[in-house]
Amino acid sequence: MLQFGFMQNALLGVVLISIIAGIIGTVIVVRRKVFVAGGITHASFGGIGIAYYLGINPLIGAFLFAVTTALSIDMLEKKSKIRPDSAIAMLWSLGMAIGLIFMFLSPGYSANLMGFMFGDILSISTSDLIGSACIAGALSLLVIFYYRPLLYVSFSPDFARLSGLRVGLIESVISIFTALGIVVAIKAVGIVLVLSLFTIPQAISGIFTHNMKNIFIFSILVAMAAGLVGLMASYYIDLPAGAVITATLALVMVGIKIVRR
Amino acid sequence: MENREPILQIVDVTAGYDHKVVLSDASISVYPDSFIALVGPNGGGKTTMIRLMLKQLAPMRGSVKIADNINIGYLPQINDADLEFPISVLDVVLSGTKCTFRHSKEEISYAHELLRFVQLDELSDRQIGQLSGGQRQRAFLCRALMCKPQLLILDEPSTYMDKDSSSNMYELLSDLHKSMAIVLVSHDIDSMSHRAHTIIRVDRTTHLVSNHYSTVVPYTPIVKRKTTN
Repeated sequence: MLQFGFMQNALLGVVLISIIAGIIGTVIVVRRKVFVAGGITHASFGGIGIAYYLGINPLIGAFLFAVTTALSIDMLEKKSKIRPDSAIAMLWSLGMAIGLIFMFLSPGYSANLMGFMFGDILSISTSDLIGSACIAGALSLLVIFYYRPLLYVSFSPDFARLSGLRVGLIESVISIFTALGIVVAIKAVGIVLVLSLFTIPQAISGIFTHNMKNIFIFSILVAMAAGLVGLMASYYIDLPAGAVITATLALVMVGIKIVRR
Repeated sequence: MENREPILQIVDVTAGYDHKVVLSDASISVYPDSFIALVGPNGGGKTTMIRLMLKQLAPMRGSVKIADNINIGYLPQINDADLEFPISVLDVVLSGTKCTFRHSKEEISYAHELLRFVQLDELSDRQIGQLSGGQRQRAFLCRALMCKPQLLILDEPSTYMDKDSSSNMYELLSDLHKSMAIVLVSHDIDSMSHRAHTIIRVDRTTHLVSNHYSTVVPYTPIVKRKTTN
């Protein structure tokens, strides 16, 4: 199967997206922001629909919507009287609604709709790969050089502020990279399945270690292993890669839980 | 009469949130050797006083003055922390210093020294949630001490603690008071009465309940005396 260029791209894509999902997912999970990530993911569909309608790269639209949603949720949590979970749900469904409306207004929408919902890693392009590589590289450097501030801001933002860290700035950087990471991963596993890559590897790592640094590293490796196994399995059994990757991760999780009982 | 310059002074402050006034005409002076307990009902403004001291809240009226080069250590209420967070006891303590890249050897050895002081050094690699309530509160005390404070502020340090842990905590505070000022919020006026030199009741404003400051600075007349309730 490796003789096909699309398969080589897909495998490289899985490796890069695993690095992104391992890092961003850990930050989301330890800060208990998984629901926020779900909101960002689904709201980004609004951007996909509009970009698709206008004939520009859907990932650009997705990114703009994802960042706007991430920063809006941040702001709503701090400044508004709306309950944060309600605010997330509203942006979540509004984004989906906008996306659907513009998808329906564009001719030949249905095939692409499936791709965005459930992922289409086999169609990942060279420019998608370059984008993913840049994000994965930037994230790795940030985590290596700013591990301590990231740890302290995640554990206790109030105390980090007292000890002089620029919490607002760090949280905004986290939000922007979360949006970027989610959008790139949507390409691989789709909106509906993306959170599995950002949470299951972390849950598996959390069984073995209580150290955030180790959770970063284990999560990347687990996501990569399950991603590659899932992708190859999907090729041979001819099923959608995103779904097979998610199922692989879930199986590993359940297997470990049973063995360690 | 040395040490009479206050390191922190709140003068005739009105403070609150969103135009709702919680405190008015509140005043307090903290000296380098003060041991002050803030007591009073819930919602009376104790936490607001602390937020003023930590500069987390600006006063609507009046002034909050903090002397130059004063480090303030802070121990928040215990229920603020996420106990499942993947962080070790040592890293919690280290988070008490501002760190942008990595900690110096001095900082790490000082963190261990503090953990030895509260008898937790053997547990320094444990995840924070694996400690008992009393141990955890001592770890957070070390975090507050990392900045080598001249003033230590504690918000209800003995909530959820059993009797042994809480008397252990108060012994540590007596020890620490030899080298720093302490301001402490407490429900427990009984255990405070023989430990704190000054007891201030915070109930929409500040009332001086008792002042045994004379034990440190001989013969200071009691300015204003009111009994509780």
